[in-house]
Amino acid sequence: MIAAGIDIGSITAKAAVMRDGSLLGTKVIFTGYNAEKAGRKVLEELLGEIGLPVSEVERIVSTGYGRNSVDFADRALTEIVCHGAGVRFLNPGIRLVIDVGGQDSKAIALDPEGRVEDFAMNDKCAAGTGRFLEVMARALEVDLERFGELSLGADRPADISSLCTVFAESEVISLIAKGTSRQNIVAGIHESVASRVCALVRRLGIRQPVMMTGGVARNIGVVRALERKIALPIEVSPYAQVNGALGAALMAARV
Amino acid sequence: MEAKTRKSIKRLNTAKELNRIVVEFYQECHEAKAAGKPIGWMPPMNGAIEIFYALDLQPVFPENWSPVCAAFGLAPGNFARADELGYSRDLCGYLRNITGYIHGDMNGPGVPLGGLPEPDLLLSPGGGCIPVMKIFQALEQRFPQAKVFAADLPQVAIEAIRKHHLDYAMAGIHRLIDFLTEATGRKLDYDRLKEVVILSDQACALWDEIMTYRRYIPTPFSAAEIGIMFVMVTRQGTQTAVDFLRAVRDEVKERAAAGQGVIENEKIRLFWDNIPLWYNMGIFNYFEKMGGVVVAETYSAAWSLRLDTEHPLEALAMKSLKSYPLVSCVSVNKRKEMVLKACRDFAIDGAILHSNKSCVPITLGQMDIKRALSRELGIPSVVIDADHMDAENFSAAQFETRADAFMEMLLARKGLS
Repeated sequence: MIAAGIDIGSITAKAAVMRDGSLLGTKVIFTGYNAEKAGRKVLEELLGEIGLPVSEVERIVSTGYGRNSVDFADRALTEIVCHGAGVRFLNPGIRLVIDVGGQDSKAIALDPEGRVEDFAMNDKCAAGTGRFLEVMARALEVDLERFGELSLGADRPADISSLCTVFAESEVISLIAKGTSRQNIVAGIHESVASRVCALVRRLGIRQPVMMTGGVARNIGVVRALERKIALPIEVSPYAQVNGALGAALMAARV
Repeated sequence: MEAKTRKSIKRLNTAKELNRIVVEFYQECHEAKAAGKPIGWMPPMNGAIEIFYALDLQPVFPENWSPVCAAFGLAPGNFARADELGYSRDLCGYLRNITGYIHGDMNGPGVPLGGLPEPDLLLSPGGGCIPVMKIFQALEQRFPQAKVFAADLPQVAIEAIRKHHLDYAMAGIHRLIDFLTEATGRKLDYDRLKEVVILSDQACALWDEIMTYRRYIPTPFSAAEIGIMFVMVTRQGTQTAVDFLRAVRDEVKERAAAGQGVIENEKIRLFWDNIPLWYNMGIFNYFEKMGGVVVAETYSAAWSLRLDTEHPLEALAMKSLKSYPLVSCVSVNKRKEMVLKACRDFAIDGAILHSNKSCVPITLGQMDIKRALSRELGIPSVVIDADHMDAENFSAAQFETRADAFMEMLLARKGLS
């Protein structure tokens, strides 16, 4: 059976298509204003790339904040269950998933059968998510793709609060004015994100092995900082950013 | 998408009668004012309501008025006024609402139920929480003509109440009676007081009985109907409360016996900890689309205290000591015990812990409760950030993700997804 998963996030929309449990392809585009259009577009473009007509897709599950906008999906499920399913596919041994996306972070505890046993999400605000990194990269005029790398090897990461993205941005601006090195500021930003995420993970209860998913998993600076804070290695799959869509496709095959 | 504010869907016929009872209460308050009957503003559940009804005085409950403001959309305007007065936005939503309300047009055309009549008496017995006491200080400043009775009840755990606490509380009750006699010229008829205390106790007995029927699977009565507590707050000691609760009890009992649940297919039984979202009681219906029913909640425990009707004054003294510890002055261990017991008694599958931005005392201990539920009973829980009064502290999209994920997890655990 051909099943598809569509994950509509705040910044990007992702799609994954599977045939009988094998991954055929994945795609990422910007969501923009219209979640429903983004859902259609990402799936159509992916199907175009892998050479499958839409009519051959038998089941679709949508996930992410825009999940209820995808009215052509057979079912909408939250990212918690989809990320759990995706990680189980990528590495069945994983017991803790740390998913850091554009506007939220989650810690998901999986039982030995890969089912969601418990979860915790960021409380109150987006400090500790991709949005925080985006805002800071813009303030420092650094390409977001290079941001993580730049944080490695700083000699003295700056101390930046993790209460509020906007407040932290004003701290960064004042650090720039004081002449703190860009690398130390960038490292401080990464420490701040890792600190918020680590608190979340600790609240849930640290267990291993650990895998990180979501767009921020592509940021080596956050991954390394988080590894130091939880004192455990963190596995990152090349499919980290599309893990939600992958999981949604797997859930679609089960529907 | 879930709305920020939504009224709850009620299934009980008797719960639908509640509107009439609410309207009648406020009408009575205004008629009392017009007739020159002394109006006393007080916090709920401290033994004063029985004395008031026995003396034929009119009690008014500003704390209860706040949920009414939230339900009718008045709260944002009251909050804005409180902001102007300089009150921090981090303060208790009840405090912000009331202080804003009393400094606005209290009885204008846009105010539902005619608003609250101005007080002739203000009763501040202490106990409870600091904001409750501060509300009454604000009331004192706003209504300088009102005569004030202030007491200083100790915040003592129920299991730690000793004779000297009771003696102190008794002295307080006598002082209150003397104060009211002096302020109003009315003498207390102790036979009448006994009648009122008997009615109050009957209401509590009925309330307790109604709550036991929620153990049935499926449950005949959910948190969506918990508005019936209005009579426990405002009408304890009256025949109105007893008659209404008897009707509710009969209906709930019948539904329980017939196996008639709140929804067709009850799959998941939920527990709600902390104060409800008064601007969005519909949240208690939210889980129904996935077969979830909020079977029990912490808050309903706050309204029932059985009374020793043979010794009415002692009973009221005991009530004045015990009332706040039911919910807010209670130790973390006691809260944990209460929640775990409720989850056992009501066969709960999952608990929703409302992390209430503007009520820290009731939110305190939720992490311990979460852990205990998981370790001792294997019951998962989810933390929802919100506020009991201010919809600006509630994000519907954030709530949806957590609530949906929690339900998906619970259904999968039971093999029902």
